[in-house]
Amino acid sequence: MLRYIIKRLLVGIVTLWALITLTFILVHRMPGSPFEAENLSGSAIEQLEKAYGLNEPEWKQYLIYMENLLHGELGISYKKNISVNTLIARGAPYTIKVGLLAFALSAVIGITIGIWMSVTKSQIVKNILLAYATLGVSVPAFVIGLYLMLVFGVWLNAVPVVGLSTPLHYVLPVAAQAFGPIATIARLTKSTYTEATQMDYVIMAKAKGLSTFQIMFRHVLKNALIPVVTYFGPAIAFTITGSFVIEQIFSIPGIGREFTNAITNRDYTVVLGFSVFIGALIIVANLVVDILCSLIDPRIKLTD
Amino acid sequence: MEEKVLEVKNLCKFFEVNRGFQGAQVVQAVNDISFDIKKGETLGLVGESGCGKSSLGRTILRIYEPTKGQILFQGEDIAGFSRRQMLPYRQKLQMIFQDPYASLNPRFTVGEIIGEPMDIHNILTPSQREKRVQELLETVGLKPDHIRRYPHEFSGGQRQRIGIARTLALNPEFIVCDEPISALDVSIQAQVINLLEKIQKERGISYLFIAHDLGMVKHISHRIGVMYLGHMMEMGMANDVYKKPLHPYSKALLSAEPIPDPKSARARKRILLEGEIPSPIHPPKGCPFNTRCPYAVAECFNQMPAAFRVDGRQVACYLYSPKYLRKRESLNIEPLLSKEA
Repeated sequence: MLRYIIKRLLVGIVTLWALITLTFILVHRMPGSPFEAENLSGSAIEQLEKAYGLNEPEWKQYLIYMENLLHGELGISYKKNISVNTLIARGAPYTIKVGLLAFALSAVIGITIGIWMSVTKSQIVKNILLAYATLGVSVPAFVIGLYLMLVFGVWLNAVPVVGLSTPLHYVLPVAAQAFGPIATIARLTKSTYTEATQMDYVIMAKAKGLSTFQIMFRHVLKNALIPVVTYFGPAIAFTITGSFVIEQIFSIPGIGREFTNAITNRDYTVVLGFSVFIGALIIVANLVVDILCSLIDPRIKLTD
Repeated sequence: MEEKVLEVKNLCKFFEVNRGFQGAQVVQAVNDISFDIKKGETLGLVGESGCGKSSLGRTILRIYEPTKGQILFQGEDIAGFSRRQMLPYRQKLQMIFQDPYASLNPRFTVGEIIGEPMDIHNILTPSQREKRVQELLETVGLKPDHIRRYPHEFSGGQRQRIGIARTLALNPEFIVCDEPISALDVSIQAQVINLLEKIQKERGISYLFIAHDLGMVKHISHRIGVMYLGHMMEMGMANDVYKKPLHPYSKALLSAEPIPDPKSARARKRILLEGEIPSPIHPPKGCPFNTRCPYAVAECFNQMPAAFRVDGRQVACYLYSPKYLRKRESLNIEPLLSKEA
């Protein structure tokens, strides 16, 4: 087990390195310089480029960046003149809060709806849930976000639509972000739950005299949820990357908004730094989910 | 072998199925079936897939709610019992499954799988339970130290033994064996059958043995019932039914049994039935076999025949009604049975 975790972490580091290198090359291939848009004279740009080390050859810049990275330094934003570490520390709490809330919401509601879809005998309920599940998978989060804003924020004037100052402010962005994952988790849960209920050991459980509730928790749910838990890894990644657009729409000062701004501003270090941060987050999330799966399913063994 | 353990009277199980635009429809999976099983007896149940064998077994165990009829277990009608009332009977009525891969929860250890029934019914203390589980493992021919392993570490035959040990944990008096050997290799089949027979001899358990394999059913069963579309067509002593099937459907079914000797297999006349099995949603009026029966007469299309007693067995066919038997005698027609025998 420990060997497996160490191995996975090493693989993660290699993945992260590839991600950094590729992003570094791509960002530097973008036409123009970070200071071009600001109406500065040629000598001023030259001076700025010198100050930030942009006049050095690309391979040297890369080496300097990697060296700083090993010290935990993600560089300094060209535009804001503060370190990327500070930017992340400032924005990440909002993004993570909204992301985790949305993820928790989608896990709880998605699993509930999935089980409901599986056990209900009412054709009407089934069709409504199926329609929602299809809609949720196919409509992107920003469309949902805009509609939620329009209906609940503008027409009904029930909840605030901009910023994150009170708990009430969280309602719309979290709902918008959870809308899709709820549908995906519901569909997945429905199929795995239905499959699990058809197993003979469920019939056996009834023959042994267990109540429907005991059967559900002891025999069905745990088996049905393994594929769902496996999906949690990518789901966490989706809720975080999904937040980019949502944060723009709802003006949330999280890392998603910072990231999109940095791309349009050619703020190399910010783009790179955030890629590293998000990449690391996704790698760790997937590793945690894999370990979780091996704990709940004895058939999954974490060996190399 | 006199004491009746189980008696089923006019048992019916109808399933409602939803078929989209056609709305709710009813499948008559088990239709007006009556029989009894004595202590230590094995009743074999044969019939094509979808004829209601498994539904019958599961309805008797109250896994499915019976639509109509009585299930008398040791004289007590359990058909209408609540879950709580059923609890003591769950110990005595148990089942063994066809698929040893689907019947064991993959997340339970062998010890938990076999121990859970005792846990539910509060039998023994936890430490005694572990010892009992080990004994049961030995009974079914596995090692006591297999207790901490998971089902996926075993072969199909071993898994089926674990399933049998789990069933035996409650000391049942009646077991529904739902095709317990169909998923196993032939060599393993014999082992499992021998195990089931050994357990029956030692404990006097009664079996309802559901199977496809006609030869195996003949071997293990004392009596045999032949089912078709939810109805019991014929029931009698195993040897009688095999040697001289009376019902036209039994004849056709048994003529399909593979014979391991090519000479006699070639000499045998196979009865090939025309047409398909009717849908259980729209069974034909009268006898359900009337669409394929070569001997069908006018009555067959009106009403399902009652079970007539012929040669110490029951046959649900008008050809064996007293009226037809007399007619045949007076015309000096040879009885149906010797025609193809």
